[in-house]
Amino acid sequence: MLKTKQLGYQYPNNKMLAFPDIEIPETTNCLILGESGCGKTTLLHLLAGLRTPTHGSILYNNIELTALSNHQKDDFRGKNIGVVFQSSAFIQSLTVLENLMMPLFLSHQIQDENKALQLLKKVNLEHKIRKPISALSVGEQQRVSILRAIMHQPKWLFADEPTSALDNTNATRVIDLMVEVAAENKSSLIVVTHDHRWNNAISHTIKL
Amino acid sequence: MNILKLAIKNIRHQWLDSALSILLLSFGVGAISMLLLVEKQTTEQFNKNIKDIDMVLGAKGSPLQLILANVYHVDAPTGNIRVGDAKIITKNPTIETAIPLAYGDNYEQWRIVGTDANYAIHYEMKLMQGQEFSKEYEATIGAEVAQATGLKLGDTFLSTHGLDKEQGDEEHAHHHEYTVVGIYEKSGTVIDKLILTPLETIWHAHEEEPSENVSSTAADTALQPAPIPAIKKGPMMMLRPAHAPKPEPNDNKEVTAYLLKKRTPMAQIILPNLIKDSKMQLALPAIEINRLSQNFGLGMDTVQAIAIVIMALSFISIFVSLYNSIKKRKYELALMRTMGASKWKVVKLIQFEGLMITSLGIFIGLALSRIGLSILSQQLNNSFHYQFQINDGSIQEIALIIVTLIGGILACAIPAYQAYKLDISKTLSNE
Repeated sequence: MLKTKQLGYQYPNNKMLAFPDIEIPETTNCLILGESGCGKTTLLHLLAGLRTPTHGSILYNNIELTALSNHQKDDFRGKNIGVVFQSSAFIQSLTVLENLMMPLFLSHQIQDENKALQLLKKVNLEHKIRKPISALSVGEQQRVSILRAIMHQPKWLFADEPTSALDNTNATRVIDLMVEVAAENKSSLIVVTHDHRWNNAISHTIKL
Repeated sequence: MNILKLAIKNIRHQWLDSALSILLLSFGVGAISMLLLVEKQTTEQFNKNIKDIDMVLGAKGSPLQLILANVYHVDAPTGNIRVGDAKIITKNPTIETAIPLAYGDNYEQWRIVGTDANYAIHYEMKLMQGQEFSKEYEATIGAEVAQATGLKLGDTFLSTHGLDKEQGDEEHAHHHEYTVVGIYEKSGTVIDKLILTPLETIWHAHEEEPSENVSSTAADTALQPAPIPAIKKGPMMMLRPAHAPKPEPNDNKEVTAYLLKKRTPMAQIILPNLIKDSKMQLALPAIEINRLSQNFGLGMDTVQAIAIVIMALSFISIFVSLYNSIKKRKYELALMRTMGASKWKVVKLIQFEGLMITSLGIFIGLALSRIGLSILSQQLNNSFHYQFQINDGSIQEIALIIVTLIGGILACAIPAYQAYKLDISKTLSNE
C-alpha cells in the first residue's frame, strides 16, 4: 500500500503545491490526472523518492520514505521503484542489453541476460539485443525504456506522460505494453498524465 | 555490467576526447621519465668512472677534452706526454697513485689501451675468465667488448691504427697479433668498453711503425729522440721536489695521460705550478664534468619545463573533457541515480574514467620513454659505445607516477563533485 498524507512541496520561488492524500493498494494500477503545470511530475518525483517533500509523509507499506537516509532512499528506489520517463533516455555508450542490465547492476541484483532476452522478444526487438542503443528508432527506444523500468521487478512502476507525444496507434501499443508488463510483474502501475487515452486501461484515477 | 566496464565504455564512447587527453599525458610523462632516466644513468656513469680520480695529467689542450678522452674514452686525446717529463708530477710526494694510459689503436673500433695493473685495480674489476695481462700483446678485455666482438679466451686479433671513430682500413692496420688472456666481468665502468694491454705493447707496436703513418693520436712520437724536458730550463725549477726523479729507461717513451689520485689536498695547489711552462696540463674531472653537466643541464631544464607544460595541459584536457562529458551526460547520471545508484557510485564512475585515462597516459608515456631511450642509446652506441639501460627505473619515476595519478584525481575532482551534487529531479524535469 502506498499512502501519502498532507504532502506538500514548496519551490525555491515560494510557489507552494499541496497534494490530496493518496492511497493505492499494491498491484493496483492508478492514473494521476491533471492539467499541465499542476505539479504532476513533481508529485511523481516525490513519490519515487527523487525529490524530498517540504512536508507530509509518503508511506510504502510500513516504510516512511521521507525518514530514510539518502543512501537508504537510493537503495529503496533501486529495489522497489521503476520509472518510465516522457522522453526515453539511455546510457549512450551501452548496448540495448547493457542498458537493460543497468537497473539490476545498480540495485545489486543478479544480472540475468535471459530475462532481458525474454522481454525483448515480447516487443520483437530480440535481434537488436547487442546493438548500441543509439541504433534504435525513437519508438523502439521507448519500448526498451519500458522494459528497463521493470527489469528489476519493482513493486511500483511509475510513468511520467509516457504517451503524450505519440499518435493513437503508438499510444495504444505503449498503454497495452505497460499494463501487460505491470500485470505480469505484479507491479502497481502509476501513470501521471493528462492524456485521456489512458482512461480505458486504468479505472482507478486521482485528479489533481 | 560493473563500474569499471561502464567507465571503459564511456571512455570509448568519447574516444576523441579521451585520445587527446591520453596523448598529451603520455607525451608529458614520456618526456619527463626519459629525462629522469638519462639524467640518472649519465650521472651514475660519470660518477662511477670519475671514481677517486682527482686529476688527469696530459698534453695541453682543452681540459674537458682531456677528461672525456682519458676518463670516459669518448673523445680524441689532446696529444702525448713523455714519461720522463711527467715524473715531476707522477713521482711527486703529494700523489698517491698515477695510472698511465697510452692508446691510439683499436680492434673493430674498440679502444686498445696500454696501461698497468693499477687501472683495473682502481675500478675494482673482477675477472670473469682468464687472467690480467702480464706480457706484451696480451690483452684483457672488457665485458661489452667481448660481447660485441665475440672474442673469447685464447683468441687472437689484429689491431688497427686509429681510435674508435676512425674506420680501420687496411692501410692503417698494424697487424700486430694480440692474444686475449682474460675477460672482465661487467662493471658498469668505462673498462667494459676497453681492451687493456701492457704499456709496453703500445710502445712496441709504434716503434715498429714509420712515424708518418701515425697521425696525431697516442704514442705517435714514441720513435723520436727524447727532447730535453722543458721543466729543467724553466723558472719552475725552484718548485721542484728536493730529490729529482732518477732517470729511467722508459723516460723517453710517451703516454697519453696519467690518472692521478692525490695523497693530500695540497696536490691541487702545488702541482699545476710545477708544469705551468711545460706542454702538460692537469685537469680536474669533477670540475670539468660539473661544467659539462651545467651546460647539458640547461638543455635538460628546458625540455623538462616543456614536458611539465605538456602535462599541465593534459590535466586541463582531462578536466575539460570530463567537465563537458558530465554536462552532456547529466541526464544519464540522473537516470542512474533513479535506478538506485548512490551519489558515491556516480562519483566513483567519474573518478574511474579520469583515473583510467591517467593510467593509460602513464603506461603509454613510460613505454614511450623506453622507446625513446633505446633510440638514443642506439645512436650513442654507434658513436661512443655508450648505452642506456632500458629496463631501468628510478625512485623519481615512481614519484612521477604518483604525482601524475594525483593530478588525474584532482583533474576529475570538480566534474566528480558536480556529479555528486546533481539534483536528480531537476535534471530529469529539465529545470
